[in-house]
Amino acid sequence: MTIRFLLLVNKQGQTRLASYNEMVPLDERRQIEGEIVRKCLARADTQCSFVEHRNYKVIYRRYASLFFIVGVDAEENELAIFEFIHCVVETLDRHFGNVCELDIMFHLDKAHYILDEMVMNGAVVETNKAIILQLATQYVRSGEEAN
Amino acid sequence: MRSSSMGPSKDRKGATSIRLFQKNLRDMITGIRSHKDKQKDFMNKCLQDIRAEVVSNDVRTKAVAIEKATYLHSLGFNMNWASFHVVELMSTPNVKYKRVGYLAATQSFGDDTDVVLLIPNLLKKDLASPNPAEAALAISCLGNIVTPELSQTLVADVYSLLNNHKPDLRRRACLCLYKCFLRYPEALRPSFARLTECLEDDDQTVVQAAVTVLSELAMHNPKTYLPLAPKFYKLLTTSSSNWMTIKLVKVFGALTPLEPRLGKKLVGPLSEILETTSAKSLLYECIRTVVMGMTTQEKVVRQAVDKLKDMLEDTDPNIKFLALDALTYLLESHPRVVAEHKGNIFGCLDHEDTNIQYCALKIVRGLVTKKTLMDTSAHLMGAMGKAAQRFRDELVWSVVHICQNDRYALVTDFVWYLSVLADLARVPSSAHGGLVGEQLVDICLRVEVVRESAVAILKPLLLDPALLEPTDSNATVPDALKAIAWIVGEYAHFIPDHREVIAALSHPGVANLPPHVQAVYVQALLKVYACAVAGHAGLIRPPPPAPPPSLAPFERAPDPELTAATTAVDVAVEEPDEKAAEAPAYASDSEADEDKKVSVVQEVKQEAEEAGDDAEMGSGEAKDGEREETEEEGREAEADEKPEPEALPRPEPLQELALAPAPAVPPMEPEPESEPEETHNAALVPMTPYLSGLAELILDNLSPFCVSLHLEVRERSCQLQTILGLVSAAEAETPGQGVAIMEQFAVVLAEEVQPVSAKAQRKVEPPAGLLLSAPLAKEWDSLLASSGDEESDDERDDVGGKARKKGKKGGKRDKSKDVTDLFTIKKSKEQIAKEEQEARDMLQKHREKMGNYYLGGEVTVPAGETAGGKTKKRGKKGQQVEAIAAPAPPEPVMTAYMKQSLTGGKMARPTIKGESDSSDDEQSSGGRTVGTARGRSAAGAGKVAYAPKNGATSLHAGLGHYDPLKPLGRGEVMPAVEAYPTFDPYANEGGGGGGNAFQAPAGGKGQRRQKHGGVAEDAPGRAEKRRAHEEKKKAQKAAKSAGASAEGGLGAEQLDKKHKSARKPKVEKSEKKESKGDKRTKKVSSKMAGVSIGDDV
Repeated sequence: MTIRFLLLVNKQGQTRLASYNEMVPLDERRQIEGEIVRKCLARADTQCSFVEHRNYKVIYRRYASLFFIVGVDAEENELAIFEFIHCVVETLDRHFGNVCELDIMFHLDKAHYILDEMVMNGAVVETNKAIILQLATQYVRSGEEAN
Repeated sequence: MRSSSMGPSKDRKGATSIRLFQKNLRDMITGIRSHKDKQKDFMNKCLQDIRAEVVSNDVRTKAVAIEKATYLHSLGFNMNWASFHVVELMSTPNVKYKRVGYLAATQSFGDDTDVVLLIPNLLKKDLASPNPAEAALAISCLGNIVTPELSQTLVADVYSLLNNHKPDLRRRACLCLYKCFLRYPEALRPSFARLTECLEDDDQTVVQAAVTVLSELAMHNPKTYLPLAPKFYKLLTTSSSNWMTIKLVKVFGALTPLEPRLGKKLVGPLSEILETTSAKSLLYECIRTVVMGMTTQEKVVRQAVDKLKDMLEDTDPNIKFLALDALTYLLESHPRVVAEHKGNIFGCLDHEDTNIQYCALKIVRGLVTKKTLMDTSAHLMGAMGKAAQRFRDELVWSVVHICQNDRYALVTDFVWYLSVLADLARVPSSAHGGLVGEQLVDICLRVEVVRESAVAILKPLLLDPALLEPTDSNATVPDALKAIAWIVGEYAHFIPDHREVIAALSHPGVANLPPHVQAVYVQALLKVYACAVAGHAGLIRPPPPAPPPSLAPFERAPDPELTAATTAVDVAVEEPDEKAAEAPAYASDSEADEDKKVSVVQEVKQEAEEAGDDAEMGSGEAKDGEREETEEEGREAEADEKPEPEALPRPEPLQELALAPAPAVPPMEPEPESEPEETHNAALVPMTPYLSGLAELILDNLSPFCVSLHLEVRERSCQLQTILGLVSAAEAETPGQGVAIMEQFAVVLAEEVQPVSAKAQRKVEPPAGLLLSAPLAKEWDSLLASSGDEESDDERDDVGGKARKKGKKGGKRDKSKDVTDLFTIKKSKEQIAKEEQEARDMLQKHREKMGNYYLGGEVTVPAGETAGGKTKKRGKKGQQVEAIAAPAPPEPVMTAYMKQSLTGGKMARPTIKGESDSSDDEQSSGGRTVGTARGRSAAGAGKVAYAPKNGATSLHAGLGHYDPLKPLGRGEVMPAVEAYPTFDPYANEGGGGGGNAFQAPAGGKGQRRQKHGGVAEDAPGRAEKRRAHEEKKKAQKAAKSAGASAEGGLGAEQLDKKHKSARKPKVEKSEKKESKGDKRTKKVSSKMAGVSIGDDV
């Protein structure tokens, strides 16, 4: 397992999306999020995007007012995750069309489904945007059809 | 307000199953956003609504409620209460709602969620669902919420999905299996072969998933995955996905250290990737693999370093940081290669990012050599100006660290180092004042030749009143000042202008310093003054005069006590009141009945204190007979002891002794014993106005310290005051006598402190009877009390305990009510005699009881116990305590020295340094200090450095020792998953399409049974036995929790019974088997007690 969690946080430090790939008790989640978000938000653009926190490596990337924060194992390749974050953003972008914070807030479930297609149990399973979106929409549609 | 408008509608509808006006997720989110001020309240209200909605029978309402609860969960609201409803939702046939349920479960279930017990069957069903969407949901969810029990129950179903025709499910199954392995390692081996087959899957994504899983496994236990190297290698050369290549390169990074040939083989592909790839991440992964594990392959290392050079020059801080990080790995093996990038690295010290700074600093520390030390230090010092507070501290620490490292291996010029330290002491807001101080003292003690320069270099610091201000930027400066004051005092004979130093030492600002530092300042005053006087006398006096003592350092045999030398100064501070207590005790004791000698005591008190306990203990031991004259004896002995006979001839102490009482007695009656004094009168040098001016300056400035609230400071300054008073009185009496007294002090103070290896103490064995580890205090008291001692003993024990610690009569402690009393009140003869008698009686009694544990040498102590006295010096604890107990104003050294002289040399001097004076000892002690300093600094670095990564390894704890490739060996157990077949899982797999390898418990057992008869089946036979054992355990468990345990236990029992019935006929059919199985059967049947007795018989 490499990706332990992925957080979407806005500039005010509010969590918009949290996806954990391991079991973390709720209060510990809150604690981790608080600490990490504080650390990341305090960093300037000129500083590097890798932070170490507890036993995670935290890699974050900022898009406008949104921070994408990924916690990974210590062995993980930082740059790969860095690129992966971009891939996630591009996918969301393609799905929502110029994604913004509100899109994710109001379509949290969809964001989760898309993320589920990309990451499973902490491993990156798919990075092809077309396939991801196709699978995601296909599953959603199959659900609607059944409905 | 949306919610209020909802209210009536809800009421109207009442508890209808479909809430037409239920807020959906969108409404809720909008609501939360619109309630900017009272979000919390609004959310709580929403939660209440959800609670009401979730019990609805309508699945749609329920789904929306759960959706909302999930959203709130992500905002930090607990949703454990809804977990049952989540399960309900998961079990609906509609994928849309199912998905909501699964999402909620994935997000909110944990190990402690009780409803997890309810879902195995549900998951099982969904995993096998023909709808790939359902299977995908179930498999993702399982991976996230898997518990050992779930894993055990469902691993077979996940495994079967490896054969699904949908690649998406295959790869998900791969990844999910890994999670199952983590929670249930036994599942690994049966699945392993199939998992490796996935490496050859037609679909690249499945291959990638398999690589991911196998690489994760291999990272934590590389050895067992070496056999897979060829497969990985093939994939590496053919892979087209960067993600997968990164994983593969990473695996090889873990494998190459184990198999050197692999490194050679990898050079080709890796250098190709390095050359061709455009993906920075892949490039970096290759570089990292090379620098971490393939440093022997020069060619590829060179190539990697070239790439690193580009990365270092990159403007992107991420790339820069990673390049630096990679360089740190090369420090060990290729320092020269790293040094090529020095310019770049030094530049990174000024980078805005702290990560980059720290990393660069780490490299700089690793690169420094003898030649570059000065440049590097200068550079680091230069960087301090711009650096932020924390990093500045790190820089200070780094400079000290690189210099002191390896016993100052890199330092060639210690004067230079001293000036560096002096600069470091001035660094504002530094956290390392103490460290700098320690270094200063250490250097001055060890390197004799720099002492003069040290005084010159450090004096300006002492004179700078700005450093005395209690500001934040001076937070740790006092610690450095303490060391500086000590050095200047200790080597006062190098001071050209005593006046300014004395003025600085008694500067009113000193009162701002912490008390322990003030105490050192006051002490330094005495030293500097004594030195000024002695220097003056030495100049005027004809050639063979009183020793300019400090100029000729004594070649003394070392004493273990001195280890504490550098620290004793601080230590002394810690128990000022105890010390205060000692003084009167000492006085009353040693002075028996000669009233006039009270004054002597006062004068010598300062020595007495440093000698502390030992003075009396030693005196008793050494000169039993002449005990009453201890005082003189002590001093004499001390003087004797100095192996510098002509410098300090025997008559001198006598003379001084004679001198002492005279001025001390207030009315100044001329004493009869002034004969020896006269013989020396020729050598008397009268005080000059300059010297008396100094004394006045001291006296003037000292008054605030004499009323200091800190005992140590107050005591020392009062002493100093008294001493100066004595001197001036003596001087007034006979010009030159005051100078003579001061000279005596100078002699005493000039004793040199020398570092001694702490290790040296261990060379001296403690006597057989002494239990160093035995508790010293309370525990013993209670033991003694319970063993029938009189009540009063309790008290005495207590006192004795302390006395033992201090090697001194603690009985007198309470007598010292006021420190200043020590100096002003003179006790009557009777009073003193009485007190002393009391104390002695007490001690005597106590010794009788506790003789074994007494360390000190009192008269009454039998010869054997003097050994105990010696050990006290050796025992680390004793030593430490001693340093505390004798916080001597002059210097801690004197403690040891005087003690030794007082004991008349009886005490076995540990042979550490005296024997050889070898640099070896010095060095080892150096190593020692450096070692501890290093330890300290390491701890300091630890704060900065990052916590160990234990997360992943602890996850793999179960998997670590598990070798998936090994054939089942003797005594090896097949994984005891009930769902697992006991035969080879792939044997009947054929096309792998329809048959679930794991779905044949009954039949499988039977087959296994039959095989059992075969000779070659030895190992499985054992395994079978073990299985039986386990089955039995499970059965018992199941029986116990009969109906209660819905799935697991029941399943096991049923399964057991099934097995039995399936086996029974077969066993009966074959004679051969029966005989073979007999043994086993007996075991099984006896074990299976209630479940299956007689089944096989």
